[in-house]
Amino acid sequence: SSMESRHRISKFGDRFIQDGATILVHGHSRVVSVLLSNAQKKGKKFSVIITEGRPGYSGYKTASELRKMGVKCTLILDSAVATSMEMADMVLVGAEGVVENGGVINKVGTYQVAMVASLLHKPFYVAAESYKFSRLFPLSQKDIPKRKEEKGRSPDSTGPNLPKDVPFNNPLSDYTPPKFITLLFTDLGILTPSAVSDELIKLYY
Amino acid sequence: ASKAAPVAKTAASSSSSSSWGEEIKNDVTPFIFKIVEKLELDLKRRMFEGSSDCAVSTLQVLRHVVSRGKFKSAKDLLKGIKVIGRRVSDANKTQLVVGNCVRRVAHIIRQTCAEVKQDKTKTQEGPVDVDLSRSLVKIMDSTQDSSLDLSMELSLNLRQLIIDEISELVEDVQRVYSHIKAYSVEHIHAKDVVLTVGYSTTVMHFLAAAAKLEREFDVIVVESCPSYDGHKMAKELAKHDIETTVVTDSAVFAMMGIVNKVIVGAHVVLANGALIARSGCHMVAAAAKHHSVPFICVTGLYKLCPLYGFDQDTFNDFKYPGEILKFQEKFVEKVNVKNPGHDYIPPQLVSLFITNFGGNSPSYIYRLLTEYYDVEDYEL
Repeated sequence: SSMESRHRISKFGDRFIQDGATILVHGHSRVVSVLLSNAQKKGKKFSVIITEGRPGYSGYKTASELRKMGVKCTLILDSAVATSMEMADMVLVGAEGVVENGGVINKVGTYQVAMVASLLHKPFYVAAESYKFSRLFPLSQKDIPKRKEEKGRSPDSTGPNLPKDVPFNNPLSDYTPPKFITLLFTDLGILTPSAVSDELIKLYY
Repeated sequence: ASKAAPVAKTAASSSSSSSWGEEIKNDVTPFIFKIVEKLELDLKRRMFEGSSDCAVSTLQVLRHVVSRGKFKSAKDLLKGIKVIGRRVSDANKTQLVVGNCVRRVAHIIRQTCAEVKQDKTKTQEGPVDVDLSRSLVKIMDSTQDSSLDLSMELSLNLRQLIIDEISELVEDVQRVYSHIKAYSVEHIHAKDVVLTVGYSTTVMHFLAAAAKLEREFDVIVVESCPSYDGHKMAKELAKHDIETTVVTDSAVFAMMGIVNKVIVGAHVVLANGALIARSGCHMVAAAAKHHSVPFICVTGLYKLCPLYGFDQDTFNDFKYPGEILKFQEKFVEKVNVKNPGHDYIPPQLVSLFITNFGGNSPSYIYRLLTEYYDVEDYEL
């Protein structure tokens, strides 16, 4: 069951959350919330930097969940990831899908965060249950499945008016290549990106 | 048993109570308690010269546990091994080889039970895959029963099989050098300039084997302050008629330009392909990366640990500071002296791991883990 998977993942990922660490989180992910709340219950002291997660404002949901558990949180703009990265010790994100080469498909903005983390030598961890592994092998950002909401106008009705002939490109997911990912926490254990393809081959032999 | 009691009290510095053997007291004889406590004390006092001695002693203690323990079922045996293993590996947290040996023994027990069970039910179709690891296949395909019933009786036959496997493992550890020697012919060629750091028995045997093949190569040994092991290594290499040069630690970057390959020994190899080696090796690895020189690590497979590390402090300890700055110096109260024992070298800086079962790249190390350890044992 997925709750059981999340608890297994928390058990594996618990070691990586050290006392006094600052963790950068992108948007909202149930696995990440469970992992962090279990670490908090164990008595670890850490603080979290959460990105807003526009256009869905998912970061606010994470912030309220974590605040209820007593975790110290800070919210930042999606564009403030690069400046805030030096204060973070590690990055932890969830995944919507894990692809064959060990890359992940996740909420848009994950790719950016991964690039910045890699440049500033911060470990980038992905927490994903094993049922999210898929047989995709994207070669570029265009190769991931798109969703209907992406074509459209400005996602934020409170923003300034956009001229009618200017389209608003709004991808909901992006693909993060495996070279930016340090480790994946799954219910099968802690895997390096190269181990993911092994698992998938075992499944589909 | 009366001699063991005071020892147990002084050894109980960790959170576990002094009656640590409570859960296995019925199955374990006082002799076993005594040998386990002796091993624990030796580990605490750092009495072991190198990792292989440590590994062999641990395996011998575990073998005694298997042969003399009054365990009724394989499940009880596994529990006993893990309780003892936790105790022993907590004695010296940086000597990860101890934990590795415990995990290997646990894996051996499970594998042997599975094989014995398979033999018993041989009437089933075809060769059943004895793969106990958790994988996507098992989750998706509910027809495969992956849970192993360990409540089978610990018969004499089963015990003997397990003891034989452990003895084979001990022999493997003791013969690591002779297995690795075979690979030196592929990696060291004539006119090579090899750089090594300090003294490592494995590297010494590796280079000596190449010298026996009458290949003319040069070795540059980094003296590795403050222990100056490099001097000992240079003397040993010279005995094998190898052209050796000793350099100071600070000269590594300058010398790296003329080096063909760097070969170092390991203290522990971590699951993500990272290396924990003697202090100074990270600097050498970074210099090698800068000059695009391959950084090779020769090690026995018993040093492969399923834990992950990510910074310099996780599996590190500090050594005696008097080695660097003598206590008699006048300004000693004003100076903070740190003498770290080990360096954490991330997997990107290592090119190749040569083990007694061949060469592997760091990104492949995780595969070896599934062959030798079970996921349930990673956290002892």
